Amino acid sequence: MSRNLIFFRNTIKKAIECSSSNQVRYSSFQSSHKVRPLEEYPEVQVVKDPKLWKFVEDILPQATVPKLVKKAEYPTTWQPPKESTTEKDYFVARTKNHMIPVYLQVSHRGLRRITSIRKIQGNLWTLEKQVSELVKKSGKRYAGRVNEMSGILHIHGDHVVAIRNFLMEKGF
Amino acid sequence: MAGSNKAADRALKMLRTLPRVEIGNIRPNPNSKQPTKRGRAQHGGDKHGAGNKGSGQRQNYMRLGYETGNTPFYIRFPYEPYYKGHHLRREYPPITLKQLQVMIDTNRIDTSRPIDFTTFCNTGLFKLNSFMEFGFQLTDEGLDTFKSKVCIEVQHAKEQVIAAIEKNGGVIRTSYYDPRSLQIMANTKKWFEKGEPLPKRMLPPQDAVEYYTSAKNRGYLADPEEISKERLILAQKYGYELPKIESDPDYEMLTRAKDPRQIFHGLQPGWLVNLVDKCIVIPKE
Repeated sequence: MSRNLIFFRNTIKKAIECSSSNQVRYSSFQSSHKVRPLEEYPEVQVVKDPKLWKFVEDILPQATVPKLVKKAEYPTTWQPPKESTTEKDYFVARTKNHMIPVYLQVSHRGLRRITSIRKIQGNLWTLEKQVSELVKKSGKRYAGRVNEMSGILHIHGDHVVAIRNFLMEKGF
Repeated sequence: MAGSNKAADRALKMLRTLPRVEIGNIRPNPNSKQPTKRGRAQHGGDKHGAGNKGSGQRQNYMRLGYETGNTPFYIRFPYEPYYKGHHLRREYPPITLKQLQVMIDTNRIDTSRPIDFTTFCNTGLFKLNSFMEFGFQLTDEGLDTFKSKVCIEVQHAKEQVIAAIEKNGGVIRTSYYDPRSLQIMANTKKWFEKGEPLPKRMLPPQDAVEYYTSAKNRGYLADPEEISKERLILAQKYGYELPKIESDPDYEMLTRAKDPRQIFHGLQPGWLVNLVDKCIVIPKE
């Protein structure tokens, strides 16, 4: 068994050596160029300047979604959550991207459209009642499903924009 | 009267003696028949060079444009091949002004720094999906609700978008990046971890030179004086007062521009960034 293993390793080594002579893939240590004598490389200076390093820090990607910072005005339909809300019965949390968690699920070749509100805490039935009035006001029939366990409310039809604006006005 | 009767009798008498008109004695009217011509000379009775049989000999030539069975060119459905070679063209996926404004509002983009392709990729919301995509274009959705002062660099922008940016006191520039530079900019951390010096940014291909040298498009290869002139013209066309950049507190940031051969602000080609030791290796020459 051990002899077989040694033979197997040797063949792999040979294969790598062959490949490194033909093709250079910089992705691996095995196939990259060998270090040449130091005189062949150009003269360099290593700079540790915080001012210069700021340029590098500016272009490195953000590791997490940045937290909200208060601005003087919000010109688009997107508004930050208000500090207090008049609604005492329930609470709808923002997503990690600071958006209202209202989504549209399209299935059955676009024939079934279900709006879902996620991240609801507290009394879902109060929200359902308010949403049903909102839907009926727009002249559509209301059909909904409340999932208290996971805090999700499903509504038949596409009411994403209306519900999003409604929740934003409430201050969530 | 009796004399005239005699004449009639005599005429009738003569008629009786005349031969009957029958098949044996009728003949064609005089001069009604042409005698057949006898072919004469060297080519007598020839086809006159028109050949034997068919439309050639009969000289009934086809009407102009007739293609013997094909639908003729002038009847064929008229079309303009807008999408011809679409798979070879450069694509610029859109970012709307509304999306840009929301990203600024949600603190994803810092307006105190110049915005470019790297900034959009670093938000994690946009990325290039195909090798035919050459950066982003800024589109006019949310044009009226855009209210930020930005120094932005995109790869393509329409006139009204340029107007919207400049109306709010910002600066917009369109610039070309070659695919390799885009790959570097799309994931800067990954590139720096490779430990290779930054390459030079390539110049635009021949069919993009006109766009990026035009001051109307705020191209990065255009004459700066021409651009400032075009800024004024656009302000007059769209009817807004052009905010003075010179007296702006962010003048330095707004006018910060990359070299046409430079990929990142403040970092020159040939430099090597070491993320571990937080230092930059610069060649001496």
